[in-house]
Amino acid sequence: MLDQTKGTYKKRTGLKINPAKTCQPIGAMYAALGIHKCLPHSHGSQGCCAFHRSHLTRHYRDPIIASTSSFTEGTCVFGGKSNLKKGLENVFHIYNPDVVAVNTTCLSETIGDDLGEIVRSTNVPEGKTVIYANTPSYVGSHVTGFSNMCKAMVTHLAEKKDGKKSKGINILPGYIEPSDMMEIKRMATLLKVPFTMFPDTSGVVATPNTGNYEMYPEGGTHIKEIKKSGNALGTIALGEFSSKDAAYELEKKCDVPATVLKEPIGIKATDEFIMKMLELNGGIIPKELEFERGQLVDVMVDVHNHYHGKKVALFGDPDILIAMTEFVIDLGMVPTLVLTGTPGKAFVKTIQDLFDGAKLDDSIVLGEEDLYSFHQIIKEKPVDLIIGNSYGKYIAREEQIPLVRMGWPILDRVGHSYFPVVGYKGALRIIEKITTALLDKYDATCPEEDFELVM
Amino acid sequence: MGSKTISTKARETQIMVNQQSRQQSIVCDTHSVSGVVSQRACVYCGARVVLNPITDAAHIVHGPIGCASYTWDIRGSLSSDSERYRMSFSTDLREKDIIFGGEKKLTMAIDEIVNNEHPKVIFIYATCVVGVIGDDVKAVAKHAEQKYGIRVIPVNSSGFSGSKKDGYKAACHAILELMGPEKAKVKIPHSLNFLGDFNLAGEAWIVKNYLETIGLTLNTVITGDASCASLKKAKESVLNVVQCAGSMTFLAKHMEQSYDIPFEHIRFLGIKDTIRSLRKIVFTIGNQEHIERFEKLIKEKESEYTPKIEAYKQRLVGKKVAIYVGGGFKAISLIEQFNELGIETVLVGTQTGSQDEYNQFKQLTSEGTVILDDANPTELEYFMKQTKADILVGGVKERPLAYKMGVAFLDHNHERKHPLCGFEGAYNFAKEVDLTVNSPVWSIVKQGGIYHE
Amino acid sequence: MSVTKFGKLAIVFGGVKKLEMAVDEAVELFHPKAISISATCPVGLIGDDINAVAKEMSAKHGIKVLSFNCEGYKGVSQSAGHHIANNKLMTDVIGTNDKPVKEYSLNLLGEYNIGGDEWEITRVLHKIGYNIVSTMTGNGSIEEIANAHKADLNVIQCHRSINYIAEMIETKYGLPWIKVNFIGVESFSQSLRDIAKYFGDEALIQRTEEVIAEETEQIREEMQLIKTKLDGKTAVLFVGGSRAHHYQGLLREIGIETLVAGYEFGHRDDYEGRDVIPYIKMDADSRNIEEIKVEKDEKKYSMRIPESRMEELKKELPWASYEGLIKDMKDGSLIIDDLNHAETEKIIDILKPEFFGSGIKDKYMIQKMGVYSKQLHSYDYSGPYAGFQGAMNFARDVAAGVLTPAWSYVKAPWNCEPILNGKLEGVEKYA
Repeated sequence: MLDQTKGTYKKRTGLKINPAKTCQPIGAMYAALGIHKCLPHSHGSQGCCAFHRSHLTRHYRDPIIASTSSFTEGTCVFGGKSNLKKGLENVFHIYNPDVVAVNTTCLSETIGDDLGEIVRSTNVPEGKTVIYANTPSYVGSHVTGFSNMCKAMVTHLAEKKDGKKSKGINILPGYIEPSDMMEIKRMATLLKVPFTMFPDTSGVVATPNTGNYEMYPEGGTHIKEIKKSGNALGTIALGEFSSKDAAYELEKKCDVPATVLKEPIGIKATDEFIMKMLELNGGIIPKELEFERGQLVDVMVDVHNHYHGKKVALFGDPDILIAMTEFVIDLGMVPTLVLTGTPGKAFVKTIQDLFDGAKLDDSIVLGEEDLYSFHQIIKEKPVDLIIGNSYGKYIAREEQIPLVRMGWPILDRVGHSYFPVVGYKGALRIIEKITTALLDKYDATCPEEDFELVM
Repeated sequence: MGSKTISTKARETQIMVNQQSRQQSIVCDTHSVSGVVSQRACVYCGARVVLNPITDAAHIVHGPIGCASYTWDIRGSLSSDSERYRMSFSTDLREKDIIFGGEKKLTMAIDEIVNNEHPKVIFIYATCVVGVIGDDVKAVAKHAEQKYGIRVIPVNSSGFSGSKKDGYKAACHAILELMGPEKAKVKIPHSLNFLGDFNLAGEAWIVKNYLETIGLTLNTVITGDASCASLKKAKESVLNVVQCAGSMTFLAKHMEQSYDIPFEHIRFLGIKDTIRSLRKIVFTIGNQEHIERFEKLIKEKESEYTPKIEAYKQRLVGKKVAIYVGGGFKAISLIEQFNELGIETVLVGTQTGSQDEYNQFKQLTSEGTVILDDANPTELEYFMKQTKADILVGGVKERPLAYKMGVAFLDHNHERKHPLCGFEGAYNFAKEVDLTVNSPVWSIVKQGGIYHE
Repeated sequence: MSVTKFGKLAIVFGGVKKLEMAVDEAVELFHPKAISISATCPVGLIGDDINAVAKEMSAKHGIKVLSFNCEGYKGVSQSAGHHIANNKLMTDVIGTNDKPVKEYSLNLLGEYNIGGDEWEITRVLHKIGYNIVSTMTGNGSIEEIANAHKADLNVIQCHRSINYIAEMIETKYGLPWIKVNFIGVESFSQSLRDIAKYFGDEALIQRTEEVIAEETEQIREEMQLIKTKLDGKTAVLFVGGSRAHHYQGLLREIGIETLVAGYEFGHRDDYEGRDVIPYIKMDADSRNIEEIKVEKDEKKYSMRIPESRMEELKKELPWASYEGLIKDMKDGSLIIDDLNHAETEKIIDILKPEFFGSGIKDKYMIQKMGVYSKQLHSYDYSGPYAGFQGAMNFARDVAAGVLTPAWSYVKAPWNCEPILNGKLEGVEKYA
């Protein structure tokens, strides 16, 4: 079906074809789900909420519940205040969450609804909380929405209590899978550093099937923990684009010093995370992590010949791409094209610096682009592997290039919500996926005399 | 969840328990109540669902990126020719465009797409924001038409301006716009259009096959596997048949007015309905020869498929089904199809059903069946438990709910991969119901896994 | 490949019946052109007469059935097996197909088409204008090997495994042999020139130079680049019976000097050169391996070149001679035979080489010590490494292995950088 992609790559100013990003509200919804007993509320048309729920459902294969203000024509003229007020009342009355996290949509932003004013004038039941974030869909991307909702958690919930500071830190995991969040928690626990992670969707969108449906699963960060974040020793924000705003807000509001690191994907980024944690725990490296790291290095040595020198094109979200680009370079692969749909010059510079460091003069990095452009460039400069989300499958099939699925959304495979790509274990999994993809293609297409048993 | 409340007072009029002896009515076709977690989508969604299967058109979504990215290739409508409709085009409005207006960007987008793709027709979908900032999409479209000599048709689909049904109407207007006001000069003998089928999993092709075997001409499907050319030709047909009444009755009525084409309601879901519908068609526009061929076809298909379906019936008799779908016609067919399999309908509801359709539910179901309009997950969960349904029929958002409750599920919506219409479809249907209802996994789930030893 | 699966019964009552059945079944299913039967340890002990079975089956099915008395306990290493195999090929196969051959025809001996080596070598030989009658035994076929005695020249790559046949063919059929080395650009070029010199044909000699120039030009730039990256690195080679010698030149071409080399199963002549053969004492194990006596075959013997020319060429070419590994190694380098695990660890500790060429059982142990190890028996499933394109492949693969960024991660950062920060306090009064 993509045999219609033609011509050489030329930047378009009017049209986006086959997008490589989506809009803010869905990121905000995902972040909100990371709070325990929270019901996300979409302040806009019903369509938005339905689309966001459907899209997230398809990726997580779990129920995703959110309410909407159900805007009508009248609402646009008179404002969404009454819809939101009524909506909040209904939500608390029927569904009884502990928190409602409201995000705006392009509609409510454009008509200029003042969420703060509306929420203040609503009768929020005793002991319940409403937080809200401005997430206009025409600014940034879904990553921006996630970041804005995380920042809102700090703005509305973090408190600084005078007195002794807590012994622990805050960890802002960024826009990653529940399996990744779980792995980071595991590493932090092994490192014996007390921490609060928020948001935390593990245990919310990757829950077991027990025959009973729980609308509010056990997972998610408790409100009182988020409130305590203002007293932490420091904050580690993982993923600049998804977490730094919330971290700096904490710094500003509660004097909690912030450290912004890459997502711990790949050996170098994981090392950086661990080294930071070692500063906090007295420098004691747990045997398990040292062991896992050693195993990772062992495999990197053992199978380098399967992917050394192979060309790879990557697309997805900035935080994931930055860490992955660095990792594939460390594996000895050649990233020739890195593309994101999220706007931002900082991203382009970061990747370009990585290219320069590895002397990759012919490699291209593009921000705020789409998958049609991705396809055009690959047609001109073919690669051995594509790494990206499920939308890459059309290009992969058209050009007969293997695809390793990473990022969001993944709509046609399972595993991402249960097995991490962060940490040393996650890096091992990435190597497994890359080598399997390349060797499967080799096995399927090589001449018979080159078909090997041991590889 | 803890609370016993499952709904608000506002919802009472939209929930009804069938009591055969009483005269009952249900409130439907109204706005959803804010905050109740309705399963409905929006006007744009309705418009897109109707228009997107048009294969060789360029469908441009004018608005921020979200509306386009959430609807990229999520539906299984198939094409025999162009695959252009499976790509996603958007003007990706940014902050600057919201402030200064998006018309310039839209114009550029149209230029770029004409140069890249050379489509014969472009549909421009207005989204929420566009309605608010006041872009004159109509003017931009007209200008583009004059410049390029192709059809550029705006679709009035701002998400908030009504419900999904208004989206259907907007889509129908767009189709009428494409067809044009003149009547047909010549009519094709023994021909018909099939309205309200979107060729999911190739279902329209199955119906086409039957009609061709009978010797009738299926001129245009609206809009499964449709093209710019086939839609323009639609007015040459002698009859319109309407399957998805919710989306297409409006178009059928207008086509009757404008092109003198009468219409009939039909449904090809389930063997009984398929036979009834074919019979209606043959007796309306066919001659004696057609009728004979029709009888032959029915005999052949029945004798092939009925015994196969009987085999599944034995494994399904006595089970109970909860149905929650988008439109009413489908629910009616499903109630009948399940009856054919010996399965009782204990709950039935729709997102956008009409009063007339709800009355039919009441007649077709038995005492105590719960009938819902625009339900939300909590209501579904409560009533499914209460009525002890064994299987739920719905769409993507209903599936995880059923699974988590340990209840089987059949997707009768966008994502279905096997055709469920006609004789072959009835057989597939029986197979799929059996596959999910009788899966060994439920016994493991009902034990609660190892935690409940 | 098929096996007769021995159960207890076979050990007690003998396996001959089973062997016969196995041969019958193999013929029925596969209609092979030949069958080889290899004996394993118990077979020799229980006294199965596989030679008799082979003869009988050969007569029954009308195909060659070759029996190899190669019980595992015979001889000290694989090398004995080579000898046994050579013998059988000589007695039963070579010389039984008298099909006439084209001009400039060669046999490639001691070449086993690992990683496609044979294909690359014959590509170049064909380009120059030679015809290959048979290869022993990579990509070989029974009919071709049976026809080997008709060629003009035998060239030997792996001396250890095939020298027996070379000698015997020369005695029996008058077909002489020279030593070649197809590994490494210089060696390969030299060997091509030696072969051309043997034939003495001007056009052939010129064509050889043309092909060498063309082929080396294609790879020159990249190999030079790789050399700059690897210059000064050192290697240890512990492989088989010939590669530990033959790869040293190629490694030198990419800047790597071999400090330690040794064979797994080489003989003294592989280390010291064939001149030492008359002085080698036979030990008890070696006595078990049959040395077959061949004599001049009156009908099929023919001198390929006149005696006088032969005497001349003997001075200029490695004529039926091999100088051995030691001659090619620098002063101060180590030569170790049958290297074992403990010694390997010590060598790596002391000498810290960057490259270790060996086999599967050593590779991962060595890499755990932080040194890149390449399997030279199986090429880590890559290849070809012979010839010109093969030299290029080898260079690339070695560069990838030695230079992969993975090595820089072996030492964890917390073992390299200080983690705790501290201040020295209370020292001011001592300042």
